[in-house]
Amino acid sequence: MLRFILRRLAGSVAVLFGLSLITFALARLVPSNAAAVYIGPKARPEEIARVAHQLGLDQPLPVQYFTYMRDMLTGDWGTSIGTKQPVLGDILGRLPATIELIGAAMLLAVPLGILLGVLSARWQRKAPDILVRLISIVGVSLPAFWLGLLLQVLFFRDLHLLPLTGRVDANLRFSSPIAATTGLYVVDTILSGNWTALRDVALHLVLPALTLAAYPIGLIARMTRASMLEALSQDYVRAARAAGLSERLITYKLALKNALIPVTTVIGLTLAYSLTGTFFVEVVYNWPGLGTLTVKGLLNLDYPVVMGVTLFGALGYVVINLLVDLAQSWLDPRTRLA
Amino acid sequence: MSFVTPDGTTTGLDGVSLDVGEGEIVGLVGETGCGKTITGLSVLGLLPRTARITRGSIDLDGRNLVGLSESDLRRVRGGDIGMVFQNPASAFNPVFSIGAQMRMALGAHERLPHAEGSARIRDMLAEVGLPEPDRVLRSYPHQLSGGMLQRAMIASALLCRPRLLIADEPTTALDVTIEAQILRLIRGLQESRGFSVLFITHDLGVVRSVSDRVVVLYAGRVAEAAATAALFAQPSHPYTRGLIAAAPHPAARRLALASIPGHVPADVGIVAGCAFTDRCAMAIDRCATERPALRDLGAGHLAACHLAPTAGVGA
Amino acid sequence: MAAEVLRSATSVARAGILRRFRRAVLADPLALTGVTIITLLVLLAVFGPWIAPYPAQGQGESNVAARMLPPSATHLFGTDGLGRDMLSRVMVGARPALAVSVLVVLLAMLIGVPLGALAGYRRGRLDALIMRVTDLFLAFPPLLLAMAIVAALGPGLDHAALALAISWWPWYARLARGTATSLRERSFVEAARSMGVSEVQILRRHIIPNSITPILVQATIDIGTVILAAGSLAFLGLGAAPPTPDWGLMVADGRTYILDQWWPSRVWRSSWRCSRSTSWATCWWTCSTRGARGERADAVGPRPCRVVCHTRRDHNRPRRRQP
Repeated sequence: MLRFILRRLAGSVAVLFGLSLITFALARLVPSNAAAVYIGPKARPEEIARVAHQLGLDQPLPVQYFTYMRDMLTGDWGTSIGTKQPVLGDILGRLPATIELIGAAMLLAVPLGILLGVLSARWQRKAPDILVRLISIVGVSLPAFWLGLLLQVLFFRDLHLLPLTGRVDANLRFSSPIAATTGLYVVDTILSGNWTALRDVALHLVLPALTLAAYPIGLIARMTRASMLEALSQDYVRAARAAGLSERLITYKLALKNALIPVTTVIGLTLAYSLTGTFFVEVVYNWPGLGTLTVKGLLNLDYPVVMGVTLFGALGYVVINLLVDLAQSWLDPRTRLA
Repeated sequence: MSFVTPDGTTTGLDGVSLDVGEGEIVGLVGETGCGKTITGLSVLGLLPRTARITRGSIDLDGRNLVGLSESDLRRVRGGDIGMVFQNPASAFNPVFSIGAQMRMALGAHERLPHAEGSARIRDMLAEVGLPEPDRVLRSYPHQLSGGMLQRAMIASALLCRPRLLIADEPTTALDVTIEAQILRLIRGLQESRGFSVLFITHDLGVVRSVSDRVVVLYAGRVAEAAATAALFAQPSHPYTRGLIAAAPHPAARRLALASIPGHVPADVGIVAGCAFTDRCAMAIDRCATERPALRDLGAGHLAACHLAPTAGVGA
Repeated sequence: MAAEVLRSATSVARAGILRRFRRAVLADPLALTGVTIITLLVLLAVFGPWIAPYPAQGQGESNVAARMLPPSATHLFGTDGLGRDMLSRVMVGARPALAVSVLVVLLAMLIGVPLGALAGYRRGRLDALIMRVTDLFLAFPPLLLAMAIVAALGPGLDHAALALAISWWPWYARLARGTATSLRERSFVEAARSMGVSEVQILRRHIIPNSITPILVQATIDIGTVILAAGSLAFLGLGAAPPTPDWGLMVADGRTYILDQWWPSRVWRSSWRCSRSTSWATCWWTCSTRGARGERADAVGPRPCRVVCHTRRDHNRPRRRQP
C-alpha cells in the first residue's frame, strides 16, 4: 500500500513540474511586456527597463524558468502586484475561508447526492425517480453564479431569512470576536464556545454552501443512480435474492458498496469542480476566500497571484486524485495492490 | 409464462409441467433459449421485469408459490429452496468476502449466535470439500478458482437446509475435470442430506450421469420426460434422438458431427402444431396443424409426438 | 449483392432508430422537455435577429430614456441599464452563445481526435508522449486553465473561445485514443495494414469513422457545457465584452441592480437552463439510441470498411510490392 502511494506521489510530482512549465509559459511568454504591465501604463521606457532587469525578465528563458522554480520550491511565489504582499502568504491567508466553504458544500452534497441516487434507483420509474432526476438536471444546469443571485434575492430580499454577503457580521468583531485558531470560523467558534458567533457564522455559510453544492448534488445523484442500476442488474444481486436476502439489505449494503466505486471518481470530479466553482460563489457572496483573490488578480492582470493560485489549485487537484484512488482501492478489493 | 415488451409479447413457457419427487434428481435439458433457466427462475419468483406468469402454479408441498407475498417468498428462497447459478464468479458479490456473504445468507433465515453460525458455515465448507475453510471465508471471490467458488456457492445454498436445490447449469463454466468433481459432490450431498435437485443443463452427458429422471424441453414446451435409463435407451421424441445423436462420440471420431438443421422458433405461442415440425425428419401433415399432447407411453415415459409409440424403434 | 444487404440493413437500423428515439422521448417527460428546449434554442440561434421585437437593441443600441423598466407588455422582460429590451437581447444572444460553443467543440475535436487516434494507433513512445501532455492539461482544475489563458491574452469572445478550446481538446484526445486502441486489433484494420494501406489512410478511413459515436456523444454534451463555461467567463469579465449580448455578461450587469430591480438577472433562467438541458437531452437521446447506433455502427461501419477494403484491393495493386 505504501509503495502504491509513493509511486503515485512520484507521478504527481512529474505532473506538477509540467504544470509549472505551463504556468510559467503563460506568465512570461504571452503578455507582450510583463514589466510594463507590472508597473502600469504610465511608465517611461527607462523605468520599464529597470523593472524588467529587477524582475529578471531580461535573462534568457531557461534561466528565468530555473529561478522561477527555485523560488517556488523555497516558498517565494512572487509578490502580488495588487497587494504588494508575498503571494504565498496571501494564498494561505485566504485558504481557510475557501476550505470552510468547499468543506461545507461537500459535506452537504455527498451524503445527500448518494442518498438521492440510491432512492432514485430503488424506485425506478416511480415518483421519487422522476423527482430526483429533475433535481439533478436542475442542479447541474444552473450556473453557480446565477443560482447564487437567485438565492440571495429569495432569502435575503424577499424572505429576510439569511444574510446577503460575507462570512460574518462585521459588528461581531467587537461584541464577540472569534478566536482565530484554525481559521475555520465554524470550528473556532465551537472550540471557544462562542455561540452567538457560531450562529452568525452558520447563517452566513448556508447560502454559499448550498449554491456551491448544487452541481455536486446533481452530478453525484445522477452517477449514483446509474451506478446503482448497474449494480442491481448484476448476477450477484439475483443470487442474493435467490438466497432470500431482504431488498433493503441488497440495496443499501450489497449493491451500494459496488455502486460507490465509480461514484468516488465522480466525487473527486466534483471536488475539482468546486475548486473553480468556488470562484463564482465567492464573487457573488463576497466571501473572502481564494476565489475573490483570484478573480481580482485575473482582472487586474496580477500574474504572480494568478499563477500562484493556478499552481495551488493544480496541487489540490493532484491531492484529490490521489485520495480518490486510495478510496477506490479501499472499496474495491480487486484493485488493491498488495 | 410470457415476456411482455413494447415490441410485442412472446411466449416463454408453454404448458411446462414438472414434478420433482422427494430425494429425486430431475435433469432439465434443452438447448440455449428453450426456457430451462426461466423455469428454474420462475420457481423462486426471480423472473425479469418483462416476464409474466400467465397460467399455472408452482407447488411446494402443497403451497402455491405463485402469488405469494414478497416476505413469504423470501422465506422460501434460500430456506426451503436453494439455488446455484452458472457463473460462480459473478454470482458472488466482488466487494465482500465469501465469509461475509455466507453469514448474510444464513442470517436471512436463522437467528443463530455468532459462534454457532460460524461453526455451521465451517462445517458446510468442509462438507463441500473445501480445505482451509478459514482462508476461504476471508477470501474475496476474485482470489478463488472457479471450482472452489462453485463449491462455496453450493455450500451457501445448502446452509439453511433447503428441501430442493435448483442448479442452473452449475458446471457449464468449469473445466471438465472440475465438472466431474462438482457433479460427484452434488450427488454425494444429495445422498447424505436427502434433498431434491432440479438440475438444469444443456449437456446430455451431464444429465445422464447425475439425474434419476430427465425432462427434455424444446422451445418452451416439454418434448419428452422419462427415467434417465429409459430416455437414453428408447428416446421417443425426434428432438431427443437428434440431441443424443449430436453428442460427440469418442468412437465415431472420423465421422462428421450430426446436427439438427434449422432454428428454434422465436415465439412458440403462435405455433399451432408441433414446435419441432420444421426441423423434424419424420414430420407428417398432422404435425404442422395439431399440437401433440404429452402422452404416457408406459412406465411414466412421456413424449409429445404424434408418432411416438411407433417411433421408439431405432435411432 | 453486398450493397443490397448493406442497404437493407441500414434502412432497418435507421427505421429502428427513429422509432426507438420517438418512443424513448415520448415516454420520458424529462427527455421531452430537454428536446423541446434544445429545439427552441436552435431556432433562436438561427432566427433570433428576425423574431426579436427590438433587434437593434438586441445588438447593442441603447435607449437610455427607457432604462430599467419593469416587465410590461411592450418589454416582456423589461429593459436593462441602458434601456435595451431584455427579451431581444436574450434572443439575439442565442446566436453567439451557440455559435461560440459549437466552434469551441469543433476546434477541440479537430485538435484532439487526430492526436488521440494517432496515439492510440501507434502506441509506444508517441502514445506516451501525447498522453503525458494530455494528462498535464487535464491536471488543471476545470476552467482554471481557460481563465488563466484569457487573463494572459486579454478579455474578448475570441480569446475566450480559444482558451476554452485549449482546455477541452485533451478530453477528445483521450476518448479517441481509447477507441483507437481497441480498434487497432480488429480484423479489418489488420487487413488494411497487411494490404499496405498507409497509416494516414487507415486513421482517416477506418479508425476515426468507427470511433465517432462516443466522440459525438461527448461533443453534444459539451456544447451545453461550453455555453455555460463561456457565460461564466463573461460573468467574471473574462469573456465577451459589451455591447455583445452575451448571457453571462447580462447577468453580471444585472447583478448591481439585483436588490431593487431583479429582472435583468432573473430572466436568464430560461436561457441558462436551455444550455444545460442541451447536454441532458442529448444524453438521454444518445443513451436511448446508442443501442441502435451501436448496432448501426457495427452494421454499417465495419462492413462498408470491409467492402471498401476488398474493392480497394484493385486500387492498391500498384502499391503492393510484387513478389
